[in-house]
Amino acid sequence: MPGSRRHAALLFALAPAALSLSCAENKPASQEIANSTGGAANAADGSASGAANTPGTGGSSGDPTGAVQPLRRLTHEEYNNTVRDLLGDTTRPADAFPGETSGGSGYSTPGTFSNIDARSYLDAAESLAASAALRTADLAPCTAGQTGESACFDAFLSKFGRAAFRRPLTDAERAELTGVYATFRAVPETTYADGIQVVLSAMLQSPQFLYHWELGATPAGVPGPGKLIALTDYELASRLSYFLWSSMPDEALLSRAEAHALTRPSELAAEAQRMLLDPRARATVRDFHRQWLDLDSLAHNVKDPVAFPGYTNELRQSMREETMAFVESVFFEGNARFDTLMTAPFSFLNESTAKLYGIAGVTGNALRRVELKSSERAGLLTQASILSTHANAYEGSAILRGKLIREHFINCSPLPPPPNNVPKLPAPVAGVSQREQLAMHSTVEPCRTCHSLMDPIGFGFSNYDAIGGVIPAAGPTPIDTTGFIEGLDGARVSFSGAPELAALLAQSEQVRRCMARQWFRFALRRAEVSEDGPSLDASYQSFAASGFDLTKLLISIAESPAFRLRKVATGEVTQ
Amino acid sequence: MNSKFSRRAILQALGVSAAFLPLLQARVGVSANSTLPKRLVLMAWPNGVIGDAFWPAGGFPMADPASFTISTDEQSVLKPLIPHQNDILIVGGMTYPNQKQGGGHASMPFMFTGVDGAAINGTISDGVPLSAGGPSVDMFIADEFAKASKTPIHSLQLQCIKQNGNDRFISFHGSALGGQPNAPEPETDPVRLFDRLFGGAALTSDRLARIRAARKSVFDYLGRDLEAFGKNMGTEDRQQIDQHLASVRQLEQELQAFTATCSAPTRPDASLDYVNSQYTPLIPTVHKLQADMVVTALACDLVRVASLLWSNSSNWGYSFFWLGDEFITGRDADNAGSGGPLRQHHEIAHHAYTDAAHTRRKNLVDQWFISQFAYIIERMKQYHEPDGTTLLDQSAVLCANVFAEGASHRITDLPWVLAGSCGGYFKTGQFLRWVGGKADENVSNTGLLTALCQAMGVNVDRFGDPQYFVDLPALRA
Repeated sequence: MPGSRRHAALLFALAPAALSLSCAENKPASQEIANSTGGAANAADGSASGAANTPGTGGSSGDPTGAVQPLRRLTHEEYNNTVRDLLGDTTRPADAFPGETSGGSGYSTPGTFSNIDARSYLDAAESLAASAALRTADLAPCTAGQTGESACFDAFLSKFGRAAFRRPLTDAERAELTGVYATFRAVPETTYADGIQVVLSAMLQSPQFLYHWELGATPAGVPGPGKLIALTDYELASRLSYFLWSSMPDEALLSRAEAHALTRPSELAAEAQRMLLDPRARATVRDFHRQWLDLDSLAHNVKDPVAFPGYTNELRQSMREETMAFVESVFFEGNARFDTLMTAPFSFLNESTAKLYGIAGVTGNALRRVELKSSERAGLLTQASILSTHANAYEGSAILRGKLIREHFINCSPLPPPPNNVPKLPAPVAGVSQREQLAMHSTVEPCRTCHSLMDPIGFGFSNYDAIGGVIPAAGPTPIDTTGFIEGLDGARVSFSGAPELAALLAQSEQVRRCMARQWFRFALRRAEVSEDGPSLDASYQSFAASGFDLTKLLISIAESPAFRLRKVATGEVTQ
Repeated sequence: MNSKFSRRAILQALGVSAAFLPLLQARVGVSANSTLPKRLVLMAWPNGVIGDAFWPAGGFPMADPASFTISTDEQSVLKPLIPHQNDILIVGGMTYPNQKQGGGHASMPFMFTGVDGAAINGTISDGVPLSAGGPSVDMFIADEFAKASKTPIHSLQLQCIKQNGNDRFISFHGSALGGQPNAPEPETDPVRLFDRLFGGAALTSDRLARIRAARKSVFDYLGRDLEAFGKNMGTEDRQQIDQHLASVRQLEQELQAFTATCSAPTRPDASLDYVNSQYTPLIPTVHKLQADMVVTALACDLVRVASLLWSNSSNWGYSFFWLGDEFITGRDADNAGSGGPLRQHHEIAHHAYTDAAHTRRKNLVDQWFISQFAYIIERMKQYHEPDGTTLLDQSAVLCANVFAEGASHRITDLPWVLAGSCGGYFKTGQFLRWVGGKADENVSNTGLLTALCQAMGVNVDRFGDPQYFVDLPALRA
């Protein structure tokens, strides 16, 4: 059918055109290529860059700006942690919920509400409530004869309601929930504990529990769409705890909210400081890096069993734990500096990973801190977890490794997909390096436009195999690990080997700004928009002023207007 | 009950073993009834086909569309449908005229909606930020059915492997909402599906009554709570809450309507990890469990509309262990970048047009998907309506590929096959193909989508974007 072929040819012609356009728009000096939020993201970048050129303002001069914060539900991680902290339940019920999307932020969040969600929340709430009701004596104590049952219920509602809804209940809510209790209690042969169980199930399915929802204190006058309103103390307490702990506020934080002692940035910063010392912050730091670096893909990563018989579940688990232990150590035991994260010549190994890294004398399953050869390993990027997930079954992949760095560290946004009808790569030939194989990428369109942004970075990792081991040179000539980064801070920068590459990235303003954006997206679970420019810039300035201390970055995000204010949405009724 | 499908007849049928099922044909002619309920099943498989192995001999312009022959060659994709030749309608020459973005990449939302896409946040796995711009035909029909007479379950959306990306939907409530696809979450877990459809059967009536009382007070509260919660929100947020409320209402209705009368198949083995496994040999097991449960649920009139997404185009983690060694490993460059030494449909499809070994694999993979379609057809023929027709005769079952051709992502001359005449509406036993020799001689898929609505008794003149609509009278009996 000539007609069909013509149509196909047209599509084929269009796709690379669109592709070249997107990748060609990569203007390193302006930090970003267009990302999914299109014009808005570019605008955000524009304002951020503008403010960056005026030292001293910190981007916070002038009127504060904020963005609409779309309604979102607790993530699966947040749900699991919240029921752990609220009910002491560690069964992680949300692991069985339907999949999440990465939205515009790149960090997981549930999608639009569906029937299966309703079913999942019902199942989880009923099961959690049934377990909790077995412990009514702790949760809702009521000694028969001591006080009336309704007084016991009232006391339970006040205490538990404030924790579950993360603020005191309103009178209307109290009346509703008392109604739920009384209705079911009227069914014959029900007990006090049964009544508590039904109320628990109701509260765990309430939108007040399931959603992040912030009304804000309405300023004088009636703000219309686009006007800013400041979040209340309780709302800030929730935002802060879900940002830093991925869980509900603790009693100390709720008390601060109750005392109206959270609305000033300095008060938020002080609480953030306290909360970062809590073990719950470690879990959040792990979760961020798990998502940023896509460590979940390790679980289903498969290698050629002949070439890599040692690539077992146990080894993959050790690789993942290495990265988790490393980021925890940098943040909480070390100096928390970005360049440490990127270039540290140490890591946390057990016997299996030490063997892979060629380190003698490490035995047993427990991880321990090990100093590494600085010519071989530097920070996150040379860890086996990342090297083996960015590789194919037989060898490392310059494309995937370069793509990771381009998208997640430099451009901070995804490159366009390959066009239709990508021709097959020639089969590997003994004695021909991947670099030689990929040579066509640097000359042939439409490959060149995008691959020139990826492959030359990935070539720096040519001496690591498919599972992250160092490949010894076959002869007197060392393996060629030279490469370059097109458009890093507006320049083309050459390097030799991954440690040099890591050092370049660690010192780059573009990469440091990307780091700040990644945490900002994680904190607010949305892509940045133009109004976030000043907040992003202020956070970056604090980050810079601290010598790029990552904990300071987190605190400065919590202090920023984007975190404390929200813009009234279209169609919203404010009271 | 008399005017509907006889649930008791089904229970009796289910009570006997499959070996006795042919005897049921003796019940033909119990009551002639022209208002039997209609059912719709949509299923989708990805990555196009190789046209030569797919299309029967003949094609446009055919003197006699009923005289087609499906090849019996080893690689003949439609071979599993040979026993059902009189019950199918092979429909070639259709396209998605609205899909103008992403070079075919983001076509899944166009399959059953027939309208322009809508932008969503972030990127779907292939980088094109696009989702559906309107409701899919199955959701539209299920909504219309719900207005007339409610089945316990509004509709089913199933998928084989749990996924997190935005390209895991073929069924849509409507246009993207708040930058997210507005789609019901597909169920992947056969055990959870079983409990939803047949779970109440295990409960005693006392226990059921008590659970219902507890749930009733909770649902009453949630309804008021959600209404109050969403009342003052911005437009997009309020739509989310409306969706939440509608889902809770639907769940409440499902749970209330549920009776323990419909005889269930055996509960799937709950110890297997159906949902989270990648590269799992359990995929055929999940396919069969889902097919059996869907067909039983349709036969029991628990639900009348279902969609099954067997896999999306990236079909990551989907290797065909059960087709033989050459589908499992291949030490060549085909898998470079795909993350494993296991062959995947995606890689096979990209190279199938230039490499003979992959051509054969591609055809056998597509033939396997078609055999899954044939299994559903067979199962639906085993149930009989009171008038002696089969469940299939009262249904429209559409098996559709998102592309025509995998490597090029071509979306003209889509390989779609419909089974079941839907109460005599469709003229089955035909091979139709609206392709003369020019791309613009493809017809919009909205002609077929509209015919599906009309076959279901849902009267719309044009489903989807009316500007490309072409009526297709050849489909009709």
